[in-house]
Amino acid sequence: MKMTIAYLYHDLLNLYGDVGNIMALKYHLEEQKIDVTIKYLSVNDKKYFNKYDLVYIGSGTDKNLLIALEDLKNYKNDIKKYIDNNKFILATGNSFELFGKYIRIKSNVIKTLNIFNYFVEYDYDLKDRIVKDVNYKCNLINKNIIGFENHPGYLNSKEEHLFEDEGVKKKNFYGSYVIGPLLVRNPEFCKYFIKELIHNKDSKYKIIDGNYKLDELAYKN
Amino acid sequence: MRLYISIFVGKFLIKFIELLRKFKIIKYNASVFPGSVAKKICPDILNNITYPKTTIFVTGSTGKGSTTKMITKVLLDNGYTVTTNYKGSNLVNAFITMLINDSSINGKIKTDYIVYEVDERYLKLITKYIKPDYLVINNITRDQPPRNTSFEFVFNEIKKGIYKNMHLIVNADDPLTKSFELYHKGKITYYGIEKNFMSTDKEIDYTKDNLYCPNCNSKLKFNYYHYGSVGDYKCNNCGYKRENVSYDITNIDKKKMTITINNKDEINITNYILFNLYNIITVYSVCDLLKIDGNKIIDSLNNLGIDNKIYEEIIIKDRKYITLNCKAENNATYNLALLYTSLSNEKKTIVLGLNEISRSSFELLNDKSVDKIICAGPYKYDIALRMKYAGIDEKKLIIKYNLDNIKNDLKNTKGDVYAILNFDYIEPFKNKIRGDK
Repeated sequence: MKMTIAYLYHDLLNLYGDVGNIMALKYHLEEQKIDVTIKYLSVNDKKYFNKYDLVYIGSGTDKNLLIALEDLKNYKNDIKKYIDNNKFILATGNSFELFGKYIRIKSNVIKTLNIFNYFVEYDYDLKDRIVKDVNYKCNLINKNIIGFENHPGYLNSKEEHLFEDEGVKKKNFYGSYVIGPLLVRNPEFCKYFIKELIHNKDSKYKIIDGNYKLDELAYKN
Repeated sequence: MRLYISIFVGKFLIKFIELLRKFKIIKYNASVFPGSVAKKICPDILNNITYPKTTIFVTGSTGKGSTTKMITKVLLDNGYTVTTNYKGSNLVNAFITMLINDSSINGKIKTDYIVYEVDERYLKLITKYIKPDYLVINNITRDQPPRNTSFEFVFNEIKKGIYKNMHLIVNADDPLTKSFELYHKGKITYYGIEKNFMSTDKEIDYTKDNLYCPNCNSKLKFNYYHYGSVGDYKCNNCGYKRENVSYDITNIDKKKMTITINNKDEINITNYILFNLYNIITVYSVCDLLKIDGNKIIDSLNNLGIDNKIYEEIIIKDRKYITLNCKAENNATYNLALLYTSLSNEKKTIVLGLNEISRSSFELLNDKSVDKIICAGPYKYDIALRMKYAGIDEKKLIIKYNLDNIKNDLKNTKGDVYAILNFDYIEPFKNKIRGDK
């Protein structure tokens, strides 16, 4: 099997080592004998959403997020179609804010892609920023999700949460504020995600046991 | 009158706490409390102090303490008196304590210069009262994210503390620090380092913070990188670029262990870790602007002494141990230590005791010259996992919680030992390998 991952805005949105998610995906997909291609794409690079099996996007500073948004707006319909076709998007950190209706910073409303109905608000007082270790229940797997959050935005969403009270999951769109990176810190979730990704493409593909020895030791300790 | 009382009380408290410390009744330093009491007595104290002719503030993420100490040293070597950070504290009340300690009872500072290392987020709280003649901004890196969120936030916080009558001294190699020029109406002097044997043109290394133009948001074109997004850049859209560098390290000679400034002045160095070189060029810039005689600056910088805290080479029984002290939760210092380590092709063993590993370029350790990697500390498994995803063979990893048996752990490893450690592991590591304790 061949798989193409589009790593969007790798040079703008990698504030918290989000690239670790790409490393984990590549490692564990190759373990499953999958031929993985990673497209490093940014502003001004032409994007062909019909050619990707997974789109990944990470977290950035407020300014970089807006630079990415301007470019991403050119692909709104492509992204909509991509999600409707049950293709995968993983958006970690503040980048998943871009797929909602708007981001309001004090009185300034920034229109985002408007693919989902959620929106984000913040008044940008440092003391109100969400900075914490997390431990979320996750109904998709029987292990809790660990990692960090560090962002100013408060999510208002009626969509299904990805984790307990956190993030967004709709079809195969996975959006979460959890950094750490998410797939590196959470081997069970990584296994689940990889299985879903592969079976979405070929439901009969046989998944073999991967090497998660260190991942599990790090998770437990 | 309030001023007199507040200085009197402040001075008394400084002495009193020192006395209590001497007799081991209390443990903490007197750096903050006297200043806070004095400020309660005279809230306007910072406006009523008579300052010396020249005041220099140093701020930024990394190296501001070392730079402050080095500027102070050059000034002292040249016969001046200096008021500087009292016991290393760098916030507002500590600033007041420092002033009280060096002032006469009527609030006149008795020294020639104030050289103050100020916390990057608290700068604005001090410059509200006192505008330094010179403000040095070392660098703004990904530093302690739970506290500082991001370099962009720190940049904006520093910006709030800058006034137009300040003369800024900034690094031209960093597109972010250079961009204070877009907001600052006053004077700016730039320093930098030119292309050298450590420079690279590799774009993707995951640690580049500022690849887009601060002026117009277009992608910058880099001729080379020193580290991260620090190097020689140009925006093809608006023309923003590294330029007007008044103080430039034009050559680094690792055989002679010297650097050359502006193609003429040679200075001895004890290591070529980039942050150290940036500190030296910063100090040179400040002292030259203060019109200290050039030869005397060089003399003073040649005799800095070896700062074993940041970097030390120790040879025990024919094996070389290099300790590289990193600032906790600062991936720029981790990256420079990794870069330094990767410059040698000799066989080596690495010891890692770090706590924020997801954002640094450990791929540099994925090299055949690396024999074993010892992953230590409470994050030992996270470090090991990062090595795995950097493509390093798991058989090369030795995972240990503490450094108690490090001598033993190193027995079956080969080559020079590079210990890349957070500051609190440095002394325990040195003690263990020397077998002192």
